[in-house]
Amino acid sequence: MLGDILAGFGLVFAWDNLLAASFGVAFGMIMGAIPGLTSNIAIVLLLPFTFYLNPIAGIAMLMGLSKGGNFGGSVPAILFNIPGTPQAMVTCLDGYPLAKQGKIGKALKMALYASTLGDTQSDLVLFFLAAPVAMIALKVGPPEYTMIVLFSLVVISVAATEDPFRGGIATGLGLLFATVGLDPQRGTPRFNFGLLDLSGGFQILPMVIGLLALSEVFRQIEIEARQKIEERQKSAKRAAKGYMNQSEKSSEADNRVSLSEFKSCLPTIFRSTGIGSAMGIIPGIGTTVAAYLSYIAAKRASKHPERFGKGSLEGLAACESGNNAVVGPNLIPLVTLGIPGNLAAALILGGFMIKGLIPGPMFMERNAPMLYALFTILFISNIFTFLIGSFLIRHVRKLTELPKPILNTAILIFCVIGSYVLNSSMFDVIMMFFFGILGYILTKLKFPLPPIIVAFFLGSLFERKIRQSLLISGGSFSIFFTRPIALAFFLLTIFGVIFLISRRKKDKSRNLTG
Amino acid sequence: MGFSSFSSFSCFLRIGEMKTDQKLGLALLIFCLIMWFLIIPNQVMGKAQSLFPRIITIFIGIPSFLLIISRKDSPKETPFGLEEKKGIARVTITAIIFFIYIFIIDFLGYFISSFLASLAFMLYFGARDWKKIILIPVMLLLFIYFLIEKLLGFPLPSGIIF
Repeated sequence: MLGDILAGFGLVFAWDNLLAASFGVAFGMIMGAIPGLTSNIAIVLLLPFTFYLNPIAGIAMLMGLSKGGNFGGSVPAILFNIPGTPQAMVTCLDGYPLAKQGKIGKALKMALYASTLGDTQSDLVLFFLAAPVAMIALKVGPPEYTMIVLFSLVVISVAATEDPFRGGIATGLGLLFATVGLDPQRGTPRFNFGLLDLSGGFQILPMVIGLLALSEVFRQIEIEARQKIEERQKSAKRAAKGYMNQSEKSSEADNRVSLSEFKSCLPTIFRSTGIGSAMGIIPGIGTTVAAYLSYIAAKRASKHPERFGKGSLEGLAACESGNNAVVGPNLIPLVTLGIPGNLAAALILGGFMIKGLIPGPMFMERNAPMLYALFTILFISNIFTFLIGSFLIRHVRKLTELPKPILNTAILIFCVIGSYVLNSSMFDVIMMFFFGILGYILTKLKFPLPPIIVAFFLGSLFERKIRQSLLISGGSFSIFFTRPIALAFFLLTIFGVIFLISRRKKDKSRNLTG
Repeated sequence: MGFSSFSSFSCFLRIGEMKTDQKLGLALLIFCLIMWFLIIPNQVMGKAQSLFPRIITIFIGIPSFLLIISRKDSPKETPFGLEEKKGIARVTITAIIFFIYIFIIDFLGYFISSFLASLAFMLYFGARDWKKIILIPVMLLLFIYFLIEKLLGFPLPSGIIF
C-alpha cells in the first residue's frame, strides 16, 4: 500500500493537474454561488472538455468543481438567506442571522474553515477506509437502506423543526412530490394529470429554486413593505439598503473568527465530519441529509441549543462540515463498487469512463497508484478551496450593500435561468414559479421548507428500496425486522422519536416554569 | 384521552370557532381523503404502484388529525394587520409581474423579456434613478449572455426579434 501511495504522489504533482484542480474549484464556487446553477451543472457542461486533459487533470477538475460548489452555495445562503445549492439551505438557519447581526465576515470565514476542515478530515476517511468500508457497504441491502432512509426522514421531521406535526406534513409533501412521474418499477405514469412534461416527474432544481429562492424573495418583499408602513407610522426615517439592517454596524471582531471561537467549534466539526462521512459512504443519502443530521446532532450536544437558528457559530460549523464531509467518502462506493453516491459522483463516473478507467471491485487492484493520486488531488483541492474562498470572502460582502431593487431583480432573473438551463424547458420555469408560490404560502403557514426538499431527494430511493425488499420477501414486511442492521435502524428511529419528543416536552415545561 | 379527543374533534363541525392550526389540519385531512378516494384511483394504475402514495397519504393524514385535536387550547390568534395585508398585496403584484415575464419569454425571447421585466421590477421595487434602471439590467444581461451562451455554450430561449 505504501508503494502505491508514493507512486500516486508522483503522478499528482504536475502543473496541468494543479491548474485543472484550481480552475475547477474557482469555477465551481462561482456556479455554486448563483442559485440554480450549482456545481452539478458546471460538471455537466465541462465534462466533455475533460476528454482533452490527462486522466488526473480531468478528474481533478471535476472534483474541484464539486468541492468549490459546496462552499460557493453557502455564500448567498449567508448573505441573502437564499441557498446557492440545496445542501446550503441548512447554512441559512444560522448563517443569515449572523449576517443580519453584522457578522458577515465571521459567518463566511467559519463556513470556509468548517467546510475545508470537514472536507480534509473526510478525505482521510476515504484514504484509509475505502477498502474495508466497501466490504461493509456490500452488506447494505434494500431492507437496510429502507430503514436508514426512514430514520433520516423521521429525525428530520421531528427534530429539525419547531413543530413536529408540521415537520411530518412537510416531509409527507416532499415524498408525495417524489411520486409524480413514472412508477419506478413498472414505468406506468403516476400523477401526471395528462401532462407529458410531468412524465419525468418534478425536477429538483426548479423545486429548490422555487421553494427556497423565489419564496424568499417574496418574503423579503413582504417584510420590506411591512417595515415601510411601520416606519411611516413611527415617523422614523431610515434609508433601507441591501438585505441587511444597515444600522447593525460591524466591528473588526465581527469579521473574523477568533482562535477561541474556532476551538469551541472543533468538537462540533469533528462530530459533523463523522456524520457526513458515514452518510457519504452510503450511496443516495447525500449532502443535504448529512448537513441536516449534523445540525441536529450539534444542537442536541450544544451547551447553548437556544442559540441555534439565531446565529450560532456552532450550528453554522456543523452543517458546513457535515455537508462537505460527504464529498470524499461518496467516492468509496464509486471506486470500490462502481455505484455513484449522488449526481456529482455519477457525473464523475462519466469522467472516469471517458478516461478508460472502470470503477468497481477490481479498480483498486488494477489502478491503485491512480486511485491514490486521485485521493491526493482531493487534499490539494481543499487547499485551493481555502485560498480561493478567502479571496472570495473579501469581496462578496459588498453585494449586501446593493440596493434592494437591484438585488431582488437580479435574483428573480437568475431564478429563471437556474430553472431553465437543466433541461432547456420553460415548463421547469413554470414549475419553479409554482413552487415559489407554494413555498411562500407554506412559510406563511409556518411550515418548514427543508424537510420537503430532503424528502423529495429521498422519496424515490425510499420507494424503490421498500418495493425491492417486498419482492425479496415475497410481500412480507417482516424482512424489515428480521435483518439485524435494518432492525437496528428501525429501533433507533422509534427510540429517537420517543427521546426527541420527551426532550422537547421537558424543555417546554422548563420554559413555562422559567 | 378518548373523550377529550372526541370533544376536540367534534369542534370541527363549528369551523368558525376553530384555531388556524385546526383549520389547517382539517383542510389537509380533506386533501388526504380526496387523494385516497379520488386522485390515487384516477391517476395511478395498479395496486403495487399505488401502495407508496397511499402510505404517504396516511403519513400526511396522521399529523393533520393531530393538529386538529392538539391545538384546541392554543392561545387566541391576532387577525392580519394592515401591514401584513399590504405586504401580501405587494407579493401578489410581484408574482403577477413574474408570471407575465415567464409567459412572454416564448414570444419575445429571454433577453428582451428579461430586460422589460427588470425595468418593471426595479420601478415597482422603488428605484427611481433612470440611469441605474436602464444600465443595471443591461449589464446583468450581458453577464448572463457571456457566461451562459458564450462560455458555457448554452442557448437561451429566443423570440421574434432576439
